Amino acid sequence: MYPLNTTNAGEKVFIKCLGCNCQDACRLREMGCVEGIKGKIISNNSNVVLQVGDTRLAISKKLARSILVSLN
Amino acid sequence: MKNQSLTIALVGNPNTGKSTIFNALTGLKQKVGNYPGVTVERKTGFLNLNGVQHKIIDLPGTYSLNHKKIDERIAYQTLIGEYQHEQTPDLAVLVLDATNLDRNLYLATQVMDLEIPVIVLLNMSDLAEERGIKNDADKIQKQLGVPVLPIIAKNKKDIEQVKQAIAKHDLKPPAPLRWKPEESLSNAINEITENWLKPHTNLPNRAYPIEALRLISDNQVPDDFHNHPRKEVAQEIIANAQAEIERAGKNPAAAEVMARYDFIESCTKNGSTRQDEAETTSDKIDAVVTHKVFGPILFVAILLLMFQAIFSWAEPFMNLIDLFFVHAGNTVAETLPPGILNDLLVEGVIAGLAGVIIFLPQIMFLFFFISILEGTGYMARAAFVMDGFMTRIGLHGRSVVPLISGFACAVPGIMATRTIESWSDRLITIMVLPFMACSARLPVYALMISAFVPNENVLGFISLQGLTFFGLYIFGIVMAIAAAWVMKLFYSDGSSTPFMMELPSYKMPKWSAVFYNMFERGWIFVKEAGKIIMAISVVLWFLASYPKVDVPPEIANNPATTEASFNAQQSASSYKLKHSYAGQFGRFIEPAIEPLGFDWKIGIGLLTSFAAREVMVGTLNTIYSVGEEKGSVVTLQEKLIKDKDPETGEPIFTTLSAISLMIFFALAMQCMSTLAIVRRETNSWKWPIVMFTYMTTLAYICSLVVYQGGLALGY
Ligand SMILES: Nc1nc2c(ncn2[C@@H]2O[C@H](COP(=O)(O)OP(=O)(O)OP(=O)(O)O)[C@@H](O)[C@H]2O)c(=O)[nH]1
Ligand SMILES: [Mg+2]
Repeated sequence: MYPLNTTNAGEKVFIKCLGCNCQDACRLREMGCVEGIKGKIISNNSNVVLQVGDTRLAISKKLARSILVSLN
Repeated sequence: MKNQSLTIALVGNPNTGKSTIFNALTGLKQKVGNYPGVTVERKTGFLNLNGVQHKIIDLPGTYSLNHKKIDERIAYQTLIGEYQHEQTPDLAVLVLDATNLDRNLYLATQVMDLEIPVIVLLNMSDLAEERGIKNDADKIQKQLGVPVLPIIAKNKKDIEQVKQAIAKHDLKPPAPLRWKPEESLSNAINEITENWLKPHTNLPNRAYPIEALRLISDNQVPDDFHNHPRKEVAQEIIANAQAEIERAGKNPAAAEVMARYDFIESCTKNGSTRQDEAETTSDKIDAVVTHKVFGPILFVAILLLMFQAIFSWAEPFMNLIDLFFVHAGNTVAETLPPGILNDLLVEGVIAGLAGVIIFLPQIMFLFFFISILEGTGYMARAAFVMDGFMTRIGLHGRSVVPLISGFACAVPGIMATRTIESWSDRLITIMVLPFMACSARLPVYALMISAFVPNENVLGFISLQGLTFFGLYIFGIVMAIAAAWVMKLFYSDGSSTPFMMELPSYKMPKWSAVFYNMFERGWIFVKEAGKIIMAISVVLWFLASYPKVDVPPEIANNPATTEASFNAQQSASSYKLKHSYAGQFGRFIEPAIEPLGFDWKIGIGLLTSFAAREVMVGTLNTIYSVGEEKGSVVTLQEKLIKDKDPETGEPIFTTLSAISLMIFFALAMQCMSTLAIVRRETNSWKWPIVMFTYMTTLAYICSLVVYQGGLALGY
């Protein structure tokens, strides 16, 4: 498992664990970023743009660091 | 149900087209834009169906009922019937984005749990089809047990169907969904409901499960309990409930979400399919627009282009308007018999209006650009790209959208800060937002620049006037940044939340909406400015024309060369002006503003500008029209340049005093509506007073330093 901010643009990932504080994790889940879902990195320049399902999420670096993903 | 007037709420995720549908149903013109968080307050309108009038409520978008921000709270409270003692709506129209059903259904299941009758609309079916996403509306309808309609909001026929569905609805609450919280979670819900919600809160019954789930998934007892006398009790009950879920090996924060998503998956499995994603155009654009280096460069370049365009593209139109008013003034002056009415109309009303309306083209170009930025989906990217920088200076990525709105007007900008979660981030954004150069400052800047900045090019192609104009915008931005940075040192409650935002897919802006918005805002500008200016210029004309004094002969009988007679005219009429009521008053306050390089005429202008900034220009035009010979076609710019101190013969205005004036306008808090909205949004008089004091003091000091510094350096 890697933190989300270490991935590269174009990579496909599985969201494994939302290690951020509870409130932020809640928000992410509501926006469709739940554990186990498949995602794609659109761009990663410290801040990350992540596509999960049909949702395109922009996530700050700090938050990205606490999201653990695995490459598939 | 027949012949019953209903209250119908439009609910859905942000940016799903609620306001578009609201407008189509009610015929109103709510703001629509392609980014999350366009609507931040409730709007109501009416729909007439078969002779019955229904009340339609447009709500801010929200991802869930687990509200954290003000805009989301409004949606939640409306739905559970807690909003200003209103009843729960009779019908909720759930507007879902058909290109993203799974995520949108999450909110839908929560709303259905509230036992409100619903209709589900799968909006943006055109986009879904374009992207090869197929949704089986029938299957979803069967699973949810409520009417489900795929629609395209801008299709008249589809809106007709929505109306039919409303008229046909039986208004029965939906049957309970088949999503089941597993055992430990439902025990926890019961525990919280029985031990806390029922005895200690006065929420309506239907809200218990949703509220209980919210408390379970939130780690801290939410803010609304902070002042509750039995706060500790709540904390203990919630902690127990959470512990129970944990004992069952589940994550309390995720249990609800997971269970709902499982249910949703069962609804849409084989019901909606999508082609496997190839790289789309949006992907390619985003790779550049959100790039670490190119992103910010692009952002600055777009702003630069916008300001440059406002300044140079508007010019031909401004000349036309100018010409029109000069002729109108002369025609009126010639047709009406000479006398008070003639003077009042020509020197008071027409001059005052002309001074302001000439800036209409610039205002319209500004709104044209902002509408395009809002319509394409770029706003959300701008917020994302600037987040790193914003965080460093004490703001938040989400502050970017309100700040950009601030270029148009601080009032909607301050409203838009409702999308910022943390109170300190939001407050600081509100406090620095009026530094953004709003459209009311445009007239003052444009007047001063065209009169006192040479119309030359630097490096051959960049106009010096355009550059100064851009410089003033940058100055406002820099001051906002500096102020935010300082405020962060004093005021921070450590509640900052990391940035996350949905990026909507790019759309072509709807041109009809862009042009509508441009003309609408132009009209509002004329109407508002017109109203104030009519009133002020009439009063001002009177104050500037009376009492009529006799001009001493040594001023009236100057030698009769052409040049000198012009000056003699000038000084004879300016002598009268100086001794009028307005002149006396202006000279009374002159000592306070003289160190900034302003004379008493500017002083009068400054005073009236506290009603609204753009009034300054109308005021100057009126004052200078009173003090001039009849039938003149000289523009206000020329009058300002030619104005000389009758005693010393020195020009009243220099480039330096013009700069000082522009700096004052850039920084001073001269807008009643802004103060009123800050009062409303912060719910106290403290912050508007702080805002007025600090901004106006800063303006005075900066102008003073620039003017006196400039003088000392020999300018
Ligand atoms: N292609 C397409 N675009 C649509 C449709 N309905 C709305 N839009 C566009 O979607 C964007 C969002 O529309 P809004 O009506 O502002 O959305 P909203 O739900 O009110 O958004 P918030 O107020 O932010 O919650 C706008 O750019 C609309 O023009 C549709 O059926 N098809
Ligand atoms: Mg809206």
